[in-house]
Amino acid sequence: MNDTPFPSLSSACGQSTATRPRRAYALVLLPAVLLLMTEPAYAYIGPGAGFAVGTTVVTLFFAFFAALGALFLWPFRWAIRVLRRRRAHGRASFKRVVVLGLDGLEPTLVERYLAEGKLPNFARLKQSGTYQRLATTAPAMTPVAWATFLTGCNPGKHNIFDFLTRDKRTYLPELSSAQIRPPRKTLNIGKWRIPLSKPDIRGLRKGKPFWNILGEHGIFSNIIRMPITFPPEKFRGVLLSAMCVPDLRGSQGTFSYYSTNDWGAGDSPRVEDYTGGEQVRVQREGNVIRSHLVGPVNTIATNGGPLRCPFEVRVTGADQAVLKVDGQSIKLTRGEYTPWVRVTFKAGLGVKVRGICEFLLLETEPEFRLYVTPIQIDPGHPALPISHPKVYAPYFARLLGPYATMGLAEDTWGLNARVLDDAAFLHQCVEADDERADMFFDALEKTRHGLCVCVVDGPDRIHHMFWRYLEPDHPAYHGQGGRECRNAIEEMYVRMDELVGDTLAECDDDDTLLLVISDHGCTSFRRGVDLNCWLEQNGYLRLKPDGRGQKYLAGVDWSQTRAYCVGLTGIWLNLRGREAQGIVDPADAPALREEISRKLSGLKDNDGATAINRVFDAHKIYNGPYKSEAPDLIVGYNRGYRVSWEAAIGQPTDELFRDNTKAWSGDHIVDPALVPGVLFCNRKLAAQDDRAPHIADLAPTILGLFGVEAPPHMDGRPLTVS
Amino acid sequence: MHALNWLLINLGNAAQWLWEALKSACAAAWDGVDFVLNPVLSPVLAVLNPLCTALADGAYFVLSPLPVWLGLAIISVLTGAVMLIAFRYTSNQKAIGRARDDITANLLALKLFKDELGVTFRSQGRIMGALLRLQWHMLRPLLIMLLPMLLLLGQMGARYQWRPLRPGEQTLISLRLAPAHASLVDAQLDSGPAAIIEAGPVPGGGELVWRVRAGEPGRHMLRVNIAGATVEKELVVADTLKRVSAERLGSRWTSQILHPTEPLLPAGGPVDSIAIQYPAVQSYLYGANWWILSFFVLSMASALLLKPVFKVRF
Repeated sequence: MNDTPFPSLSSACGQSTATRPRRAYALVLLPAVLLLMTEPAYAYIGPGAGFAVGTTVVTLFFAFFAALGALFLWPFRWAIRVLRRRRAHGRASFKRVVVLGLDGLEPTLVERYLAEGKLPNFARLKQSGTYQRLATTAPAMTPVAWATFLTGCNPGKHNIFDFLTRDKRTYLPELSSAQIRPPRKTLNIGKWRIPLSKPDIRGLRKGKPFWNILGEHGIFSNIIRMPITFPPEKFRGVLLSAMCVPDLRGSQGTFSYYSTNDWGAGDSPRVEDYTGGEQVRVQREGNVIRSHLVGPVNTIATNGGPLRCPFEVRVTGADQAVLKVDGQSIKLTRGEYTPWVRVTFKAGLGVKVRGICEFLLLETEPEFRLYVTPIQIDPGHPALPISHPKVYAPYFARLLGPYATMGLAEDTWGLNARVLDDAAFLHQCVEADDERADMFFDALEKTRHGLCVCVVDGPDRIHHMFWRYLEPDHPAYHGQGGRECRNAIEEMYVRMDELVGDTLAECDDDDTLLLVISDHGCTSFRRGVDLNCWLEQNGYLRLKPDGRGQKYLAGVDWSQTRAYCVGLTGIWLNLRGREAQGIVDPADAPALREEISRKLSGLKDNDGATAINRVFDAHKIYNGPYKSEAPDLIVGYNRGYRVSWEAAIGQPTDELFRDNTKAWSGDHIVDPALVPGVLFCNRKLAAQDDRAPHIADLAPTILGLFGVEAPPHMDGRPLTVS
Repeated sequence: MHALNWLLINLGNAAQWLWEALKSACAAAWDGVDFVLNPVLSPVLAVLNPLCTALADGAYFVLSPLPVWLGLAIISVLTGAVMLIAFRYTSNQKAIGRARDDITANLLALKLFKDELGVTFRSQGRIMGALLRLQWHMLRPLLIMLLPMLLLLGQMGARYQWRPLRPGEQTLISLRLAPAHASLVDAQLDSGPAAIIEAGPVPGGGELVWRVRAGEPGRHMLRVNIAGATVEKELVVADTLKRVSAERLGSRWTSQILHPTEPLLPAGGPVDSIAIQYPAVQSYLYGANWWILSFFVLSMASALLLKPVFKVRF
């Protein structure tokens, strides 16, 4: 072209005949060939691929610089720790301490299965290290015991005495560990109420977890599903909250049961069994059933009721149906849970609340019955803070998929109400434990230095709900259930043993100390004691004329009542100046406590069996600034007894003892001496003064293992590790 | 210092050699692919291109009352939406979601466990692995969408890359001779009312070039008589933006994709291609080489906005 009098055509047109074939390559070949293109414009082949290439580049960029940054900053971070004299690792006996909490593991059963050779990994731990019974708190309850574990203090210092406490003004029961209140400041515009501040989420547990103290000394902790850690606190480490994390409705678990028949009709559950769930009666139109999931209350609408997420079920066969919810189409098979299904509740103004739930088709003919688990906070988009830092919950959601976030993830109420059968409940327990194990092993992989703690709830739930299969004469034993249900407890121990085996494999080095503990044990719950009935019979409580049978103490005549029971652990005095309608002079309180304690201790059942071993005066067994918040008397029941279901919700009856026929057939809210926990360790471990180790001893022990002195307010004493 | 210079020079040479080798290998691979694809795709495109051109003419007729930028925006947004839906149904959404989640999880791990160098490096490795998986899962939808996207881009290029000649405007018409007829120097251009021939043909470099001045407005057909054959080429003269074809080529399916609005030149003839030097469209929104950027941004933005509506992961 240069020998022509004309300018180059090709350059003017922005193309070259020589490069023509090369451009064609770029049109067809994929990213590697794109590098060779002279005109990148035609490389674009749609948004999907565009984003793929774009995000890949961005991801590589971030990943590379994040790694470079971490590498570059690591020496500086290390130097800063040194300069701040936080070289706790330098004084530590171990690089890593791992605590595997198996909630409610019962020593007598552990010892029996050990003797039968069914727990080889526990046996290995016992042989090479330590096995001892671990003294627990009074009362022997999960929230109380774990709060003591994490603070190293007695309940008088951490303020957790029960799942429930009571509102001193109204006497209504309320959650003892956390309060969630709507935002204080709002802007009302028409029908909308715009929140100007965050919801007030307040943890009621006091005291500092020992991992906060470790963090102050530069030691990282990874805490998975530790009870009584909601709302999560800031510290140097990561934490996923557990017990007391509510469901999306703010309750501690409300299942939904959709059926075309009434509650109690035919073979369906009876209405009197209803607790912790709700039935929605649905109409069948041909093969289609339409209804809605119930979500949280709409707080941004001035007249907002509960948010709803509509769904439709189309029955396609005798045991088959198709569920359409939130733009998803999911196949339902009778007796099989769906995977976690993400559902969205739209509040308006673009605000969405996301949850997850599982569906279980129970029946299609002749009646339609569908069970839905409590709708839990979606860990991928948490509506409430459930982890520290906030991204830790979404991290697991990305890594492992959706998982149960509610504190009590297994729906014990569903089984109690007989909406679920044993197998369906067991499935929930095993699934939750599997999720927990996956998190735990990820935490072990990620935490090579510092503290790693994980609590597995399955043992506690399975003890509670399947204990009846250990005692064929248990009032709740009806002979039902398949082999897997009859052996649920033993098989749970075998599963826990396998978990311990896998953990040992991950901790198979000289720098890791492994503790396997339970917070308490478990025993039978055959008979319920109505403490309000006893108080009434002994003149401490008076009912209004029509007050019998009313829940939440609504039937109590407060002007003539000196003591009452609500919650699971004990008795409160109706103290003047503390309770809104108190009549007991504080000066008379010690004598009254002594009197009730004396009369109640050794209480006999109708057949002469001892129902209550002893009664503890909270003011004597606790010390600390919060002991006045405790029930005045903590009741130490004998094996086989517990507070009755009615007394727990403040519903006085005229029957002092009543058979417990619910599936919830095992419990541990008894004399703490009867239900110690277990303590296994891969090293020799002993109390300094030869006393039995106590759960409060573990916090100062672990602090000591990292070379950190336990603060003087801790009640536990360090165990000696050799 | 001398040794360092020697090292750098040799490293540079080695890199250049590798680059050239890679390009040669790709070119050789492409020749093989082209050899296989040409007999299959060329007849298919011969059928598809007139259909696409007719469809595109219809669509642009509907959009013609609108400003050019708005027409481009509408096409881009619609394309983004359609390709998004196509992507949803042609890709393995579950696997893509899994790979995406792995990437996010490991990026979060970099932040959460930044003091553990081992975690940092393991997460790096997992991110790379997940990215490779992601690319792999993108392959199927990418290949499925390749042809419709190329057809669309070809049609859009014919409308936004170059503008028609204005009456009286000067340009060049270039005819590239087939290798067997490279020595030909004589050809007659019959431009009719489309253009006035000012000079040419000027031979050189295997080409014959005319300089012409645009004549009456309209879509005209130029005819070139050469070696007993007649070759036609469309010439568009107009004051507004219209579909133009800058080049008419022969022999390869790739040419059909790049210049889809005119049929291929007959095979075995004396002419390899015939090109008109249309002026580039001048606009930062829809002009030459800018239209593709606008299209890219708008279609990506619409796909991004519609992604939650159609529940697509990419």
